[in-house]
Amino acid sequence: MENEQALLQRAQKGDSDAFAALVDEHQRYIYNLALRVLKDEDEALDLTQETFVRAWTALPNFRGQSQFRTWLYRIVTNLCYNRLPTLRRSLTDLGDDVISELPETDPTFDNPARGLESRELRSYLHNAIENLDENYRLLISLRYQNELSYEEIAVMLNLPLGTVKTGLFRAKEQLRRALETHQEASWITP
Amino acid sequence: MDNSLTPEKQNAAIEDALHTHPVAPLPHNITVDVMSRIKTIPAPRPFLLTRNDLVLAIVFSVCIGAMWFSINHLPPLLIAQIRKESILLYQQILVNMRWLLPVLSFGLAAFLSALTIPYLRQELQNHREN
Repeated sequence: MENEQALLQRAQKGDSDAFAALVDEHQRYIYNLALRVLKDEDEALDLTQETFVRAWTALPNFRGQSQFRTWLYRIVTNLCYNRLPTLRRSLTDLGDDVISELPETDPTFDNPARGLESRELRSYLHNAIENLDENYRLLISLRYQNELSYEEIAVMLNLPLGTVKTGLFRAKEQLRRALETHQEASWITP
Repeated sequence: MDNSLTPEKQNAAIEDALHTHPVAPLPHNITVDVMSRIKTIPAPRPFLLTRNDLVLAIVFSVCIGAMWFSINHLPPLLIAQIRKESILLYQQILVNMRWLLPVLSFGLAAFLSALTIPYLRQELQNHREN
């Protein structure tokens, strides 16, 4: 298969087949980002299409300073801002007062002895992730699903690095609280 | 049985959940939809220098060159004269600033307002036709 750079160059010259190959490659991740933020399949699908249509019209302006994938994330995020007017404000309001970060430990919780319990916990936490506020869902999705670094997220969302770290820290704090609530409930009703 | 997790295990569980959060499958491939929408949009025009751009660049270069040449070859007496006239003009402006500034401001405002007249007339006409 042709590499992305060659496809991009051809698409920039107006080759729609090359652009179709790029759409094929990236649509799933764009859709998932939109879905995580909007929590509505139809809207997410619509936004994904809109993202690629906008990317096509803006393609001559793409100078390759960032990865194509990151550029698409920026477009879809801007479209999410339009759909959710409070999203941008809630991100900038996060501030950058984080003192420490949760250490990114290896996910070694899933050991055979506690398999069933950990699966149940994992499923509970997945649910809790989906119920986070929209700004946290966006940050979590960019960091863990799309595997962007803190710096890339900060540049992409035009936010200070500290704000991105604060947002992720608070998201994890919310998950920790949810986990504690779940633990207390399961302790009371064994 | 004690169900409570240590903070380390909580962190591990959270990290695990964040890393394993499943990616949703796409309901259907959207490439065809996107491409059909794109077909109605003209193909993006690649960045090109046209002949007009080149002609404009040459004209500007010649003008700037001619000005530079003229300034460097003016007789010293004329340069002194120009400098004197410039100082006099500047002083005239300073002396008349009290009325010149409001007149220029109002003039500019009137000019900008006048620019909206054709648009407003068109709007009025459309309104009458409807």
